[in-house]
Amino acid sequence: MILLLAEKKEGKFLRLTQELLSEARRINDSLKEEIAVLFVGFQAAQEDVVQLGEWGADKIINPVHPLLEKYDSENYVQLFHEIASMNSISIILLGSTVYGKELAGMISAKLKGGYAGDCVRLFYEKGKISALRPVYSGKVHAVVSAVSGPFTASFRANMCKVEGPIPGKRAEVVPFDFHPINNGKIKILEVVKSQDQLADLSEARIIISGGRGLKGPENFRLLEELAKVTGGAVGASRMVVDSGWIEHQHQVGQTGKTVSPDLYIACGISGAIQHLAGMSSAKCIVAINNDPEAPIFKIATYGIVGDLFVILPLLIKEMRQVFSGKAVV
Amino acid sequence: MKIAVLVKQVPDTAAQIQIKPDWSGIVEEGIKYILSPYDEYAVEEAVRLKEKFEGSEVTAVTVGPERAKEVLRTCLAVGVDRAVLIHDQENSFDPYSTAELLAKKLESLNLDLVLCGKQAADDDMAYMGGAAAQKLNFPFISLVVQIEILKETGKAKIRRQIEEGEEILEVTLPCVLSAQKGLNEPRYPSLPGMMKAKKKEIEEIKPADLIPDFASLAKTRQERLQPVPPRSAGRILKGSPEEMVKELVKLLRDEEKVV
Repeated sequence: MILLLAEKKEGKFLRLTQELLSEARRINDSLKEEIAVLFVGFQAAQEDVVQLGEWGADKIINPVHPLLEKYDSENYVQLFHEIASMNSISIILLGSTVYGKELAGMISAKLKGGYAGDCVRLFYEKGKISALRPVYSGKVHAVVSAVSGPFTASFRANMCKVEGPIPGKRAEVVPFDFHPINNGKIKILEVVKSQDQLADLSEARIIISGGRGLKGPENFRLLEELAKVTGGAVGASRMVVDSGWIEHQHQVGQTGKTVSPDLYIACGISGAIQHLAGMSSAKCIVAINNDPEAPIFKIATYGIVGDLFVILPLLIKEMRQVFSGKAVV
Repeated sequence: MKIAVLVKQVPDTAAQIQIKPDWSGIVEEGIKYILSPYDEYAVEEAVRLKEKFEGSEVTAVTVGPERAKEVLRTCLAVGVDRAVLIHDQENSFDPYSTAELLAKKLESLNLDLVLCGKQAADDDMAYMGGAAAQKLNFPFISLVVQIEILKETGKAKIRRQIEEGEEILEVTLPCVLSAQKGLNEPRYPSLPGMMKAKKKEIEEIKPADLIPDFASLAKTRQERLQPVPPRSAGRILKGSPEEMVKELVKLLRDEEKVV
């Protein structure tokens, strides 16, 4: 069995859930096992069942329990443990979200199996389940293979091709009788939602990022405006985060976030190696910088050498035209 | 409080990484090694807690080669009391085996708290905290940006980052916490601190002393390192600002199809 965890946000599956299913389908061409989705907490609705089925799930394991309605690492690990004790699992896939990454290590340790974090590809090589993962913040790739036990991998968002739905494919929903451990060692007291709507870089398809070239914290408003117009998020270089211009949540690169959006617009970022490591897997990179020698131009798909205070207002205006009348996704 | 910090020596984040011709690892010559950046926050927090709670003791533990003693000395220089080097060997690429070693040592320390960085800056695994917690049967919270120890209840109040903002949690001690940037501002080692650290003894342990059949533990194998497909420089746009912006938007829409 290939087992993967479905995650929802605001009532909708993360795109990452569909990506995990696509990756599972591809490696399953070699493995030929059952693909099971773990849908936790609530009864799966008919539309969930249809969606997960068409994305490639053969089975939906659906434990319903009050203690599973909210994320609870101890009970979630226990749940994987119970499922693994009743099924022969070869691969467990989780998204590289905060919860997914936290769980992946714990699950693999609990199941005494292999682990690979933040993978970008799964494949079958010389009879072994293998994973490709960036190391040294993406400066190099490593290939690791499973030796024994279930292989647990967390998978980075926006890195793999999404396979089209299989029309009419339905997944079988399997209820699961879960036995919670309920020792309450961790209690969530409060969730403080960030007022900053532009800080969530995790699944953003467009990131507008700023560096020292912005000259001051007040000029981030230009990036914020462009991000709002394009439905994107705002990123930043380490330099400006350390200078206190913007919160750490926004930092891209080593000691910040690794991102792979469809479009990354680097404004006034010279491109230190630590920054490049965190964003060079973006599909399209645009660099705007007044220094033609800036290293960022060496990896940018398109470069504009010029004054960002002239370029950005023009870009906001043009983008507004492109996005007006187009639903922002 | 008895606190352990899990640390790792990694290449400087500014280092260019080159792969050995046989793809078995990286070329180590010319690389400057440092304490992994996120571990700095963990070490600093441990030392601050020690300073706050009298009679505390902080032990730094690492798995690594001989040169990893340098980062243990760094830890000792900023106020860590004891340092342990577990020598690595062949299957040290396998995170499971490494976690077994660390957990075995940690078990013997009778701990209230284990701190580590959210991930090491070399393999970026983000594994050790959660895995050690499982083996010790401690709860685990990642991406921690604030720790408040509630001595009287044996608990801690934690703030940690999530995608949407922050969570505030309460956790029972002993527990494992992984440090995110923002937890604190690490101090620099002082000269007297460094002098003192030089004289301190580092406990050295061989894997087989902790786990006799260590070599058979591996659950994964690192097959190879390979270069990242290079990203070539693209096009520098020409013309007036208006022309460049118009062309850029056209390219993004029609060629790249990203807007």
